[in-house]
Amino acid sequence: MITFDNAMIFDGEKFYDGQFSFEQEFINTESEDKIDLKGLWVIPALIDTHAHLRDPGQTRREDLFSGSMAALHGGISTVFAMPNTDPAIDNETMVKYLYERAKSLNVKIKIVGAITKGREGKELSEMGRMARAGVVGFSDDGNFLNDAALARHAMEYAFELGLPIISHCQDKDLGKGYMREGWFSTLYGIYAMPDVAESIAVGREIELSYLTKAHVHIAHLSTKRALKLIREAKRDGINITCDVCVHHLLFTDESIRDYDTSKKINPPFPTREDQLALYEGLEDGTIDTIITDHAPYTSEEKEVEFQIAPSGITGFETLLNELIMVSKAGLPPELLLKKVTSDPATLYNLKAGKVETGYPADFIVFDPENSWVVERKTTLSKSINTPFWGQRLKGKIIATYINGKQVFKDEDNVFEERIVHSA
Amino acid sequence: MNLLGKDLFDVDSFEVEDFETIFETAKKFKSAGFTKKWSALKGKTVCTLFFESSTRTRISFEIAAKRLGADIVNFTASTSSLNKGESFKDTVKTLDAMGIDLYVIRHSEPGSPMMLKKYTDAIVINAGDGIRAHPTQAILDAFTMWEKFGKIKGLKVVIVGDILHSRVAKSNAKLLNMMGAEVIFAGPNTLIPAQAERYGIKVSYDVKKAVKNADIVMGLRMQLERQSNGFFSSLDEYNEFYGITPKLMELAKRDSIFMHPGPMNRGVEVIEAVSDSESSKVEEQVTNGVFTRMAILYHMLGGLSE
Repeated sequence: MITFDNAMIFDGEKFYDGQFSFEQEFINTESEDKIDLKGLWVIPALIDTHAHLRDPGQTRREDLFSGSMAALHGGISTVFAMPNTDPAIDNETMVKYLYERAKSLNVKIKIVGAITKGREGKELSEMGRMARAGVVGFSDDGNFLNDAALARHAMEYAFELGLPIISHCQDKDLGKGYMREGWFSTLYGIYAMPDVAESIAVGREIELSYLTKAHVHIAHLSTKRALKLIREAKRDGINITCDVCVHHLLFTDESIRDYDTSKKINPPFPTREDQLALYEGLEDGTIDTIITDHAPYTSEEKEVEFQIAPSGITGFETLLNELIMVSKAGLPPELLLKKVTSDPATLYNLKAGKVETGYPADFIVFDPENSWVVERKTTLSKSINTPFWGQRLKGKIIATYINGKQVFKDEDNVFEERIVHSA
Repeated sequence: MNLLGKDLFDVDSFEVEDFETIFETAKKFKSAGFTKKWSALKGKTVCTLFFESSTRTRISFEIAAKRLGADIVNFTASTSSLNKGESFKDTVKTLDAMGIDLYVIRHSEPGSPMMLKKYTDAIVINAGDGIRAHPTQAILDAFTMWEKFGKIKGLKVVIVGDILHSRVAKSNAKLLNMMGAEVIFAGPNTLIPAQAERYGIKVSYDVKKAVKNADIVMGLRMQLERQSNGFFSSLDEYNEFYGITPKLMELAKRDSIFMHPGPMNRGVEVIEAVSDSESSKVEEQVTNGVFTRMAILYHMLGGLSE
């Protein structure tokens, strides 16, 4: 048994001053010792329900191991791996193969299976068999399933299997473009997609969820108009939920004035008006969770012209820092932390996301006053496509514990010095 | 004002006074005529870096640089070099290793001049980046207006046609707005960019109304492939509603001029009766292109006084 004392504890709902104990094996201290965490926070390890681990097939960008190390550095215990790998995760064998390999990792990987074979939007993949192998949901992530009749059938299966469809909502034709359409796309000369490219697709998903009763989860919502539709659908009792990508809470269409390809993401950064609506959606509960959409790309892939560069930003290692930044912009930290801990746990029925008796000892020790520089020697992801590259960020994770075991430790933390040997 | 060592990404890289200085210098170069050679940029190396085909802009820069005594080298890739397996970055780094003082870049991708700047300490001039900006065209256009009317402030300029895909229209709107002209974008709704009014200009879908009392009517190249992409329905209808005809020009002021950045699609956006008329300044624009680019190079690259 080890006891953390004097910590500011976030239990998944609220902060309180106090202490808590957990069974542990690997901390090098006497069992009766206390660790004085004065000035530090203890937070449940984070849950990221939308990430791209690039394994198999794209391991020059990331692989299961590097991705899991990056997640632990970011205080993330649970990662939903999206199926846009090469080949796509669209069958039971692949799901089993990834779960088998993930066994040796400290991060808890959950697999999302593809809705259609090869994510091509033509034939349904074997959803039942993938469900049997333990997928947590289905998604053709990145590809909106254009065929509404096929989407309907996928939802009917998902309903039967009790699993959500995670939908990347973007009309295929209107969604051609590399940033959000508006004054800044005109000014920057970048081909752009209007906001309704998203809301039109969201509207279809709402109607199909109404028809099939399936749980449809809208991924990385980015527009005011789509949010409005979801708010109304929820009020009508339709089984629809949604998340927002943390980067969309910090950057706007205006931010890409420097054509930095590490700011290229799909859906693109919102207008300021849309961003403020996303803040409201978090506050009123319309938006259920916050994700990273961790999408590593190599420097070679990203160091090209803006419109040509692939879309995606890494997010694991800066998630908590970004949430702190969002809280500075006006949202309560409790609300934001809930969206990456207890809320996704509730949404996906995971016994996680809380510092509470009976829950796994998955938590982070966080120093809100410390800071770190995002650079090669401090990061563990294979890729560096983050707009924070080279920047000093406030707040530093000094240790991550999974199942009571310390799996990440900041190299210059003074953890051991805080051990108070009991008299 | 000091433009020495500055980059020209778009017209807002400079101040209003800078343009007035450029105009005065261009006027001096022009009055000296085409035969006069200068040695102001002797020993300097200018590289034109053209990732998109262009004849007039590249040649205009080449002549301007040569007149000032600079050495000039041309790099041309018919498409983005990316397609040929060599990245933009590598291309630039290779050229940069050979000691270039100033790049003139044309590229189909917006933001490419700024991207170029990441890899070089040399001065960068944007000669057109995608549908974003074409500052030297806007400067030569403004010079042409200034030469004809003696001022820019208060002029009514109507830019007609495919604004959405036109870097010329966008840089013109910015510059003319900075210098106090009244600018109207006139064209079909499908070809007006989002929130264009925020340039400080007006938008009209009725070209006839827009052109009333205009000092300048500027046409833009209309590419026929826009039709298959649904931006307009037929050439015939487009001509009737938005084509620049002598009848349309009659609605403008008596001493109004017609301008076009070229290349013109005769019979599409403009008919010959206008483009070859006395009020047409199309060839004058080309001539002025050389002198304004001489002035721009002279000020940016540190012209020695003579």
